[in-house]
Amino acid sequence: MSDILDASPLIAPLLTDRAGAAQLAVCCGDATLTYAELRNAVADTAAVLRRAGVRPGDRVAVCLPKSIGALTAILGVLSLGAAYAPLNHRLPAVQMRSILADLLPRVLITDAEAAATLVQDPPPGLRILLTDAVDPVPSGDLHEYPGIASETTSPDELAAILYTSGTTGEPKGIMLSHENMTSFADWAADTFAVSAMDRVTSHAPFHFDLSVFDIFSSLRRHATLHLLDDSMIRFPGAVRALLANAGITVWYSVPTALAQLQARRALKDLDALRAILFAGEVFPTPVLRGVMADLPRTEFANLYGPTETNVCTWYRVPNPPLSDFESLPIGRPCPHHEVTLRDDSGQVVAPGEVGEICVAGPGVMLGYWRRPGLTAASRIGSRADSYRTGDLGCWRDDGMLMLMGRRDHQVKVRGHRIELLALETVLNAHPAVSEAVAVAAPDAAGGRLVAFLSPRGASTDAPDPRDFVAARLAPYYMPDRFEWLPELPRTANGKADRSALRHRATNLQTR
Amino acid sequence: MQPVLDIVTAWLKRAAAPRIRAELTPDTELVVQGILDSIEILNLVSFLEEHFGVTVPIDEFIPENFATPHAIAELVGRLGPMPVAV
Repeated sequence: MSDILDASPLIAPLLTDRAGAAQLAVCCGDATLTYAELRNAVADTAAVLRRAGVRPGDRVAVCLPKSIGALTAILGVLSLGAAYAPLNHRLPAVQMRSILADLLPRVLITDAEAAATLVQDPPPGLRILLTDAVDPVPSGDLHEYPGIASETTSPDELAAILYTSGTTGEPKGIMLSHENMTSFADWAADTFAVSAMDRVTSHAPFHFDLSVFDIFSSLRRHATLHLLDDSMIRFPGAVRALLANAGITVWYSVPTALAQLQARRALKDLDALRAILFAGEVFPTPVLRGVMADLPRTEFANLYGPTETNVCTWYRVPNPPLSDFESLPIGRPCPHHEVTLRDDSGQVVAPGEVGEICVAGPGVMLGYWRRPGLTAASRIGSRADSYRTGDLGCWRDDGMLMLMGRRDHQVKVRGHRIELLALETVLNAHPAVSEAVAVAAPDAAGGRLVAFLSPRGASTDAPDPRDFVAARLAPYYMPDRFEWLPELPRTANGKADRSALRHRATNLQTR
Repeated sequence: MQPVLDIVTAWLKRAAAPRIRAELTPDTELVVQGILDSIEILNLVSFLEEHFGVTVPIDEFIPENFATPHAIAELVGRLGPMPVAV
């Protein structure tokens, strides 16, 4: 296996270290693999991939439901020195084709269901390796479609390409190196003391950056990874049963997932759960306090960072927690990142001033796949290992970083510069609000502000949100409309779908 | 008074219309076919709780009870009172 060791620093520890052979590596429903079985499955998968023509430096798309088969496919790709690109199994065929045409993978590993939507109009030169996700090793059934996919070489050190939909809706592939991923995975494993004693959930889908912690921080430390598959993840009762029966010790997800579990009382009395990490969106403080009240002995940490840098700052939430009116800091920079706040000209801002959060160091992505212009525009000057996040921040006196919103969420309404996050933070603290999203919609009068609110419980004597805003923010922050929705629309990653809400706000006004 | 199954089926047809590929029968696999996504499930449970005056306890909030329209109707029947007249 020495070639494998050289080819993949990311997974070398789990393939070569014999210490955990009898230890459970991964569980999904009733299916399990020990570390010894995982090593064999990865070696067998690598052999199938090699026969299918996969070579070091290639890119391989993996489009499977969350499963042991999806995990061994990813590890098999890495073990050959190739890079994996995890794709959302539920993506519509049009978007799937557009990503495959951008990625030009050597092989797509997928199941019959996803393949069926693609084969009617396959991208030229597509090679599909069919597998059944419940099987840890692909059968080796290779389907080739005519045409030649153009050869585009990827960087030698490339480990993964994670696709996000850019603002224009075109797919944007974020290239992560082995060093990007190991620097984050090992920092997180050290910081939260992940060890062979731990049982870690894999909540996020594999195409979402939170999965880098789940997979690699766990497996590199010989913890046991419990995959929450697509069907059980939607059912709080099933998630609760896993948390309790498996004795899960470490959980990492978006705040929304925790809020939904807490609303159903699914987090009470889980004594084994020692650490909860969350990232991806702002956790409204009152909701977080509710979660913490159900789990008084659990450690909570707020992790911040876009996919391009993975986590770059973190904050250990104090216990007892903050007051409802205090927003959560994103904390201090991780040691493998250098974090600065800069103005539009790239100069570091004075202490106490708001600036764009800029990150540099070994955790920063190699770049956007096949988009050198976009990559260059995201850097601080000419520094190659740097990234301008587009998020605004401000250092507190105690050295904690506060998130102040998005550069592009700073909107102008009737001539006033409005920070949507500031408005949302206030509304999220309202006792009757479980979640608030504010959007600006254009109109002839210089734009209007709409606040979408989802209700929390049945509070009857709660103050009018209008009075709540008036008491806390400048008058021009007052939304023109408050719209209550039973649930806010979500993106595939579980975040509030801002573009759907903007659309809705625009329609509200023209009605 | 409409039977529970009809009310549940009507709700599903309205809420999950874009994801229903064939005719919705009492035995259509809602979870396996991805007809019920995560938001739809929460909305459905809110609807069941309000409309039928039941509470879905955490132990019952599991895929088996939402696998088909028939399973949902059975769950409602098991949980409690019949619908108040609409």
